[in-house]
Amino acid sequence: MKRINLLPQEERAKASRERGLIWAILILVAVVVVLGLVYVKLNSDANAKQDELAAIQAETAVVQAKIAELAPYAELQAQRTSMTETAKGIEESSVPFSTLLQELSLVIPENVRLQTLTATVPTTMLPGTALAEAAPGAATSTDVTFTGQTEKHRDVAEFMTRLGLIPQLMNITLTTSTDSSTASTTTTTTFKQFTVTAQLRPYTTQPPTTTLQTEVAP
Amino acid sequence: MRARGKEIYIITAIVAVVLIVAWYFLLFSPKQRELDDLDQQVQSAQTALAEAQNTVVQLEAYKKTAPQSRAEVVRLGKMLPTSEGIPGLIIELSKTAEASGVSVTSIARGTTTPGTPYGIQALTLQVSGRYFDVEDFLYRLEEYVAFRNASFRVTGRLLQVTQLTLQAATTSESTGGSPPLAVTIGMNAYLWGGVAQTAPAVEDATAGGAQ
Repeated sequence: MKRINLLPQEERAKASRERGLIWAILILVAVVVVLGLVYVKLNSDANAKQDELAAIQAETAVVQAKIAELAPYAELQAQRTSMTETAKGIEESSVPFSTLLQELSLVIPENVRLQTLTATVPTTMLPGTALAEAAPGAATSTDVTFTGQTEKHRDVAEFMTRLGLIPQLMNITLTTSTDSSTASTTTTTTFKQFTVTAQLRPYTTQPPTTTLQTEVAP
Repeated sequence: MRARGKEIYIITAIVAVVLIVAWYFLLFSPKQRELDDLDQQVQSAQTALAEAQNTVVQLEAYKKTAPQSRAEVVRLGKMLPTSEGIPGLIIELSKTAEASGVSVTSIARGTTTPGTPYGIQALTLQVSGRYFDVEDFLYRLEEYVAFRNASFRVTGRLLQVTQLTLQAATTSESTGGSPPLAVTIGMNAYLWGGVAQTAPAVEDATAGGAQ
């Protein structure tokens, strides 16, 4: 059976407009509700994050308090490490003079008699502020000086050659080797008076440095 | 004039768009920014917390080894005291000289320069003895502090010879063997920290050497 709309044309348009208006209001309400829900969700997320942040900060404060409580142990450990490293650095940068003398006693030729031995450790090899004070020409300084007597110039040459066997020494240089004589009541003895210099071989690692304050006089 | 059906939809669409845009810029966007900020804050707070927790773990380990550390600092303080400790040093040097067979003729205190982390205390020593006794004396001085197998063996102050002069003594003895030598030894002793005391009235627990 065919359905027939019995409403007049005017009423029909009015009803259509009212339906449209209802739909429009419904759509707007739906939009507002959706936007409101999204905003509520965001707000809830933000509150949750705030709470999480507050909890983390509270926990951090507790941990920081514990760190402050344990701080003396860190200072003790730092002092231990620092002292060990410093002492190790100083100990490693020492020139072993006992070894040097022992090696010298092994290499000195029989005919050579030493009169003086002078050794000065250059500042670049000493702990302290050596790095800052290291002069450009310091490498050519004389660190060890040997003076002595022998019978022949050849003995001086042999002495110099043998000094080269001592690992702590380098740049062995002859300063002088001259004829000398001593006269006694019965005889006159002639000998060669010599002076030989050498440098101490620098270490591959630099000695530890420090910041020195004003000196305290003795 | 009444709006028709089509116009109502257009107006609704415009109102909806205006609402959405206003919501986006006035509510959504600031909240989103706040959330991002909070996210970042939470992340950095978590990182800080993790670091702090690691530090606590490390400090707990230090706390466990604190007795050993204290003992080690006292032991290291024997070679690197906080004060000059001249009396102890004189006793050490005299004992060593006696053991080596050399005699100490003079001990002169040089300048003391406090520093950070360590200070330097200069000394000049004059000894007399035969060549190999002098060598033994120097060896014993060097062995006050020895670094062996990753740890220190400490029996005295940390000393370092900086200057050495050996010459035949003026009063020669004709007993055969090597002649007696007059030896001048310039040396550095080291102090821990910047405090220098010329007369240590109260010795620190970590100071004093073999006093």
